Amino acid sequence: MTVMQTIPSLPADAIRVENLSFKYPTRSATTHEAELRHIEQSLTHGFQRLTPMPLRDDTLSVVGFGPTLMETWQQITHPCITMSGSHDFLIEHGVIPDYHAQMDGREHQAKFLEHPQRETTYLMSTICHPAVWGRLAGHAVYLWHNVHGQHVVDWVGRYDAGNLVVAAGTHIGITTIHLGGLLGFRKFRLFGIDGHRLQDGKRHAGVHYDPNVQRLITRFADGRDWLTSPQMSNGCDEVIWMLRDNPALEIDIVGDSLLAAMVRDLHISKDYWERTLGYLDATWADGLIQQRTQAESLRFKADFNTGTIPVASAFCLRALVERIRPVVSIEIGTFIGISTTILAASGQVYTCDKDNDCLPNTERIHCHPKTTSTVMLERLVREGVHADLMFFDGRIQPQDIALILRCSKPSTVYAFDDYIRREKGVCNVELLEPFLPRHRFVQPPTPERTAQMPCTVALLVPA
Amino acid sequence: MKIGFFTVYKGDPSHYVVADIMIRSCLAVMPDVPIVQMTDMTSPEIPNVTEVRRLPSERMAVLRMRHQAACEGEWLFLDTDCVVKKDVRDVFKSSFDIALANRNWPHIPMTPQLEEFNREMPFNIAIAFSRSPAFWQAAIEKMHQMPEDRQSWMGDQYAVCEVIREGRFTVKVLPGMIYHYPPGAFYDDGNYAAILHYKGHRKPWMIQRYLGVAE
Repeated sequence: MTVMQTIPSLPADAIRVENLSFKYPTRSATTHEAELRHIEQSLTHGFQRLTPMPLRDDTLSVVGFGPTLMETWQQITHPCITMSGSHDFLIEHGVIPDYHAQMDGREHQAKFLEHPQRETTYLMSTICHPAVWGRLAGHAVYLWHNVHGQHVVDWVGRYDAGNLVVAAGTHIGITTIHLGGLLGFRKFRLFGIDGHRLQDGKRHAGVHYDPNVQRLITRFADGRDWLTSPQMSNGCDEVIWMLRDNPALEIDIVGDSLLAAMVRDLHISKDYWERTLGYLDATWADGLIQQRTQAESLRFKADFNTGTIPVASAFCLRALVERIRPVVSIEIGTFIGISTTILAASGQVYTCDKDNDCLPNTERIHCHPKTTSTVMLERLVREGVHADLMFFDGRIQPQDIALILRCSKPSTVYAFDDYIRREKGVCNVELLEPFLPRHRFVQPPTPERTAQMPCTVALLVPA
Repeated sequence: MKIGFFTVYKGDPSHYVVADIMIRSCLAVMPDVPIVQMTDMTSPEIPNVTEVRRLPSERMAVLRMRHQAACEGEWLFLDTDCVVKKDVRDVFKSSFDIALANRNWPHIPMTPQLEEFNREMPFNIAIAFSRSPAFWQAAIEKMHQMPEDRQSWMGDQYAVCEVIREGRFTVKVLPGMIYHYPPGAFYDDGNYAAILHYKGHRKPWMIQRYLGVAE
């Protein structure tokens, strides 16, 4: 029995392709029509198809063409797989790739195949430009369908049913890791998959033929700013999501890159939550459920009736409160007060809601109903209030940032609900993080730590 | 005297953060001076301003000058990345249409490029004492005569320097070491300076100095 036969298959019409929630908008390098034309054309050459291979224990070197490759290529070991310009780069440095992968439908990609090698197996997406096939005549070529959108799945279902589709990601770096998975690998060492540019703007270890000019942005990771582009930044996020959601994957990143910095941040996040969730006490469960029920009974008072903090987020927030024992907390977004009550477990809470007046004041809870965050924060600045913990379940306004900093101290922990897709948590972190260079970003805990219930609380914690 | 500052929110909150520092510095030394935020139709109001004046969006430099051209009376126009350390109302005891500081900053290393730049633009409009709306109107007209690329980059500075060169307005030149002091280092507060300007790369210093937890 082949590995393929052990994998349950889905009919094409049961597969729904969803867009990933990128920070920056993405667009395809080629049109859907061109991609379907390319797929059709690729299948006329009689190349073999890529199928899953049995699991193996050794490590695959995945070699991208980012600038760190210039410093790290000597550490590459076989077996290795290249992509774009790293193919020729390795050959020029005396290393023949074992595998090479491509998935870009643009014509310039054929230039990366001017020196195909007999010893190399070429794993080519069917959407590759027709110009590549002539270059690979007589070489070992395996085709695979890259799920570049629903249109590819639909086409394969109609004209090439029963064949494998690979839904890996938007860029060749992450896709090559998935292809490595199909080859049976579970351990990877990444070279030259950097996600950043050098200060002079270079993003490759040599000549690259990509005609598109990318906009430059900076991205903060592991305590420093990195020069990158929206596309590369999105690409790094994809790898981080893959690592977060597949803890069994063993990936080692060689070289100092934005991606390596983001992975370090991810490990810090895991460690932080590991330690924080260690404070969870099973006896809180009844109390938290009771608080939730009581809070829900206030919903009828709401002028703006909205969602409230998810159960897993509530437990994580409670564990955070137990860990840092805030004497003073500030909250933006009271609503029915579930998180407010959790924050009050260890001290005073100042909370505001611009639309609602649901929660009464208590000895510990100081509500600012129907009050904007700016007005409450300005009051707290005047009163000299400094918070140990700030919890944001409402949108931070640009004029709030200075006030938040004035209500902070170096040890303040900032918690953000709704850190998912382009929701307010993501926007809030983006606004505040540049002003807290001595804080580290902590992603929400992985589902395996929260009984598979989604927790969307991210943090900025003192480094 | 009123203090006016111009800022438009386009997604970078750092202008708002430094504006907060600037406003509080003004209120600390001149608590009764009205502070006016000049902006477009949608940018949020910054806390502690006395008034927000709004005009429809257009090229930033022109919008700023349009606001300033509508200001009758005695005004101090400040960039958001300034810190006011002393009461500066005495400046208006002299007679002038416009008072700007020179670039005589011995603590700033001089390069041939900087010398050339200073010759071409001897004044920086980040800090301007004004009692002449007509001066700013003249600068707007001057800007409109400039080529497109010049209008969008430093156009307002060029325009102001051109208007001054024409000699139609009474201009008082203030010592830059006092009224427009760019700190030379993180802890440099300029011994005699009344207004610090954290221009260019100095802006993070301003945030770090005046907002405790930030760096």
